Amino acid sequence: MDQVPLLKSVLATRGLVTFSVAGSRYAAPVEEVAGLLDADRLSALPNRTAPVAGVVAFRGVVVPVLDLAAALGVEESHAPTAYAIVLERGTDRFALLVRGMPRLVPARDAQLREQPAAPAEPTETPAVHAVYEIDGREVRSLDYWSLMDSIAPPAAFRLSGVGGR
Amino acid sequence: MTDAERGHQNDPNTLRPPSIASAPAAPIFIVSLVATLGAAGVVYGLGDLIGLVVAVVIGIAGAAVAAFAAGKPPAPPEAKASALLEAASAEDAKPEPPSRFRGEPWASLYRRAAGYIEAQRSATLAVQEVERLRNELEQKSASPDSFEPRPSHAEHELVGGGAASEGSDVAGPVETSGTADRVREAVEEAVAPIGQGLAAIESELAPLLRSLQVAGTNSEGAPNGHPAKMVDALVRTAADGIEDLAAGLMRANELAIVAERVTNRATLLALNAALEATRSGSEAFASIAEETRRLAEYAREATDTISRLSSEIEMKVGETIGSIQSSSEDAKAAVDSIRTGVASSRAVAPETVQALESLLGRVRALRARAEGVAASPAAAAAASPVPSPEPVPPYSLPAAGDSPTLQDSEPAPSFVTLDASAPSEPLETQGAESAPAWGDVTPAAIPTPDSAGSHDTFGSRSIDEPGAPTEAEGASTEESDAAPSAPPSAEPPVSSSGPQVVPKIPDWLEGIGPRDHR
Repeated sequence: MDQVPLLKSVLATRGLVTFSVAGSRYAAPVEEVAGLLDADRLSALPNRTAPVAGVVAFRGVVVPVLDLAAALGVEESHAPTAYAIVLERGTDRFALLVRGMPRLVPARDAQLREQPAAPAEPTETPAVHAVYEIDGREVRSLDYWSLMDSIAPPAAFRLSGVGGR
Repeated sequence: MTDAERGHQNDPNTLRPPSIASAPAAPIFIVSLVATLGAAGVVYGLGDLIGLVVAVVIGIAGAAVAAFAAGKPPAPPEAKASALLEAASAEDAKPEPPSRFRGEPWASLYRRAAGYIEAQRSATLAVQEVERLRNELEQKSASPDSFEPRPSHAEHELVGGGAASEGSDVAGPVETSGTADRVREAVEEAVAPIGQGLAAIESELAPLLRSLQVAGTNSEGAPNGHPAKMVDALVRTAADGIEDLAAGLMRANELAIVAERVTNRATLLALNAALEATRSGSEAFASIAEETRRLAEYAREATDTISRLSSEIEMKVGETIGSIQSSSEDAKAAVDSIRTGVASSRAVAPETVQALESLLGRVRALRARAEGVAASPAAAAAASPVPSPEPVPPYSLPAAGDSPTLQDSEPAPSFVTLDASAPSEPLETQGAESAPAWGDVTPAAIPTPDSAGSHDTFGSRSIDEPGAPTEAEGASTEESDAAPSAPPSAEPPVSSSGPQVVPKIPDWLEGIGPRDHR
């Protein structure tokens, strides 16, 4: 992954929820995070296929859970605890299954790097929404919605009624 | 030494003077005369007639004196030995030899002879005393109902010597109460130490026997032995404790896991609160998020403490379990060793207990016997063998393995006869070599007082045994080379038919009772 230059502009978010997947640090803006859940509340689905891990109830709504490590195609080491980060955009919700406790980083503690140019041809890796530097480490913010759309089209969720999509 | 050798040694014809040789008188006279005449011839040749005469006279006289001196027979050693013996056996004999026996080997012979004769006198007095006591007891047992004190006849025996004891067991009817009291006191004084010694032995044997019996009972009741079972049970208890401890440790780990989950929930709650506060920008949410965060931190610290303590406990428990397991292995090895020892000792224990029981029974019987004798001398005398023309010993110790009680069928102890009129013949006593005749005595042939035994007689002038030596004497003579002071109980009985028989002093009577009659 190429080094992204820092942007001198002010962050467009109040904070970041950071988490680790296969040793890499990722982040999601707090404005899109609806909540954090314990993975023991996850319910598995029959005939499920990766990267869908199952569903979880969040505030009375069944939310699909996506295993981010499986979606990114990386091998995740075994972790004692897993958590679900519920992303919300409007009425659409889905959750990312991550290992390890997420962190909440205020915007003042993060520095935004310059956003890299969009690739000319589409790749299998999800698009990087932004790159931050927190505590000297690079943290990437992915376009999780496009990743979710590539796995489960919104029409499917709309027909099933899961996630309000 | 065979009998032939002893006979050859005792033969007076084979006596040899120690070292003096007699020179022939005639050759000395001739040589002296020729030498004198030769000297006279020399003087005559010089022309001096008077000197010649004087030389001849002096030569003849000197030759005569030399011949007389050479022809005089020396004093025979037999005579000197007899003189030495007489001097040593005199009443006023001194320990140091007189001037005529100052030279060696006569001085050492004199000292040894004096020592032997002194010991012989002591032994004679002791035998007489025992004989007197035996006669007293025999007379009491003969007439227990009409027990009367004896007269001072026994005392007279002690002072008067062995010849006076002849026929003393049928002493006259004149008796006094003082003698009976002295006899009773003497018997009590003689028996009391025996009873005390036997009581001490019994007190030592009885607890030992009881402990062995208890140990045997326990080992029979418990197949593996009581201590072994205790150790085995202890090992099993330790193993059970180890299992319980491991289960408790697992529960402690579960508790730590639960605390970890609670902490995670608290952290997640704090994170959600902070997320809402960040999203909304509300101060109320921020304060709630802060308190929740502190709560989560507190829970985290507590969880860390619990985890650390649990780890430490787990480590210590692991060490303890390891040490207990090692100790259990050692204990099992010890149990196996104990089982082996118990099995081996169990095989020997019955024989030991049986032997101790037998020994304790004998000690008790002896003690009862001694107490009975001390309590009633008359009754003890009645229980002893009845006086008869045949000599019967008043005391006899059982041989090894025999019953300690006195019985008529028991072999009588050895005897030596007391006969002052016996001829001066070499004394044959059991347990000692044949006494050499004083005529051919040599330093090597004279037994020392220690090697001759404490009850042997010395010399042959006052104590002698008539008749030919018995078979037992030959055997005892052979045994005396290896064990010159064999115990009386091991000696074979010797039947005596002499004019009067005096029992030998048993070892256990040595030093007991009034003895100072010298």
